Amino acid sequence: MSAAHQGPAALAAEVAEFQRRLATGLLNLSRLPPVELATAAREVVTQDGTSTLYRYRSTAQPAGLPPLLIVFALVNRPTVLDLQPDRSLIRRLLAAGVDVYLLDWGCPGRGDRHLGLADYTLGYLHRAVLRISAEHGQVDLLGVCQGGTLALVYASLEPARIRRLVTMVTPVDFATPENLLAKWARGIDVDLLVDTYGNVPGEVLNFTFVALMPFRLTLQKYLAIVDGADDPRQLENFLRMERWIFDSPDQAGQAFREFMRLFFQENRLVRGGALVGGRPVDLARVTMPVFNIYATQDHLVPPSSSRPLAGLIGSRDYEELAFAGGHIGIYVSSRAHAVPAAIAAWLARP
Amino acid sequence: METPEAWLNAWRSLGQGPWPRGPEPGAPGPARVPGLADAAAAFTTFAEEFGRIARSATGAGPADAERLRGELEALAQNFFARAVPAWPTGSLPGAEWPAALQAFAMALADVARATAAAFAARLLGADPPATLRAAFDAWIDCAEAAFQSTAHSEAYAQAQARLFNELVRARARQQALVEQAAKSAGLPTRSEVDALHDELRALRSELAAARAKAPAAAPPPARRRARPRPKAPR
Repeated sequence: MSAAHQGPAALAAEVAEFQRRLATGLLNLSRLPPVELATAAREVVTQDGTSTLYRYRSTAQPAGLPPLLIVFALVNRPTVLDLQPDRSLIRRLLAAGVDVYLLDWGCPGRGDRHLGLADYTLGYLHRAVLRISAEHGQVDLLGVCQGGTLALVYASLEPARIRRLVTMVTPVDFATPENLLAKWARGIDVDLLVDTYGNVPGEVLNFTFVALMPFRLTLQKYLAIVDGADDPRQLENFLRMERWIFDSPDQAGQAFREFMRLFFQENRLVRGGALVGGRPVDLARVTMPVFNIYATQDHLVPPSSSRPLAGLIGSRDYEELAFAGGHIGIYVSSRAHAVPAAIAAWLARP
Repeated sequence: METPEAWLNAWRSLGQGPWPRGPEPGAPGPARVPGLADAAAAFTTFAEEFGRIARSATGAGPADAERLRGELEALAQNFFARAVPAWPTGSLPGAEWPAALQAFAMALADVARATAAAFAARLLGADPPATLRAAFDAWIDCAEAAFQSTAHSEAYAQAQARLFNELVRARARQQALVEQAAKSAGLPTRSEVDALHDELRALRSELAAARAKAPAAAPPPARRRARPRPKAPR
């Protein structure tokens, strides 16, 4: 029997139950303490411009591996990697004996609009690698999302400094039919945008990401809060995720311009011809072992955008992991624990 | 009737004074504001022509009334034809705006139509939603599917980009006017501050690179393994 054929009493009962849950949820929300993200113990190693290099200490018997430097995207904050104690890629890596460093790009201010990709990769990232390798000898790199693209750029420019490279939900081929973000980006006058705004506001990016699935990511998502309204824990989880999603830093104008043009609009990782800091970016120079993790349901970075990496790098030591989930689920879903376990195992591989 | 020379001179100076000419080649400063110089020229022409008509009216009799009325009407028409279109519209959208908005709205209308058709089919199908919530979720499914189908099309991408670019362009026009006002008032402009920021960035980058230059800067030995580290005390 369809909703249209339900009697008025049944429909009224459904609405009443919805309202009861809504009222309970609002009451529970008002009683929740402020949510905190990224609470794993860490220390500041260096601060360099807008960036901060953090170190997390392994909570298990050290595996005797070189430290793993995590490079996150510029468009979001890396707090999602340690969203909460039981949903934390970083804590699971630590528990597996991996010594973890995190390069937090920070939030560029108005005076940082001229920071370009060279400043990020050959500046902040390079100096972080130097700092870590000065202490440990070698460095493994984990690039996440856009951070994976930046890690690939760096690894192609400084291949001798990286022992092993892990890329996670990383866009490589920006011209595949499933890549909606890239389709939309092609017609944007990026010079006009950056010249006008200086830094590109984080709100513009947030709006764009939500617009990729506008009905699910607005109406349906917020109505679904009511389903877990009786459970303060679920509400806390929801708030943490919301806080992360809308914590998007402004983008340094020049870096945004270069990333959009080189990758989104000209697909230079595949077609070649990218220059960063005046140096050619050639993935054939990525000769270290590479572990590429993609999410099968990723609507932001579809598998067809990540998997071409196999045919572009110079390394013959290439492995893939297909995660059954989406772009965010790979960090926080109930199956997400498999990812850090796989990374730790791959890094420890002979 | 005397020609109000002071008034006329004020018009002239308005036309030649603070209006932007654009920066000298190579000099820091705001980009030239498209059309603003043309608007200033139109104002100056208007002032000159009005002065001529006013002078010709001195001592004119009733027989000249029709001629003067015609000249003033032509002057007004010329002014509105030249100066108004040339005047930068500030925060107002440009001429492209209505067409861009219409194209985008039509794309969204396609989504709405496809959603309605799919949702109706779902409601009348073999397994209709049994509750209001299920009906809502079914509507979301239909709307999202319809949107994805449209959003992946080249036409939608173009319409959206066109609208977005036009919005940014409107902001750029507004910004250019503010920049000109700041410049004419002797205040630092954004372009000048940006130029300083760029110099600062270059200096910071050089400093950081110099600080990082140490023996550790050499690439590490390829096969050197890090020794296990004892757990740090908390």
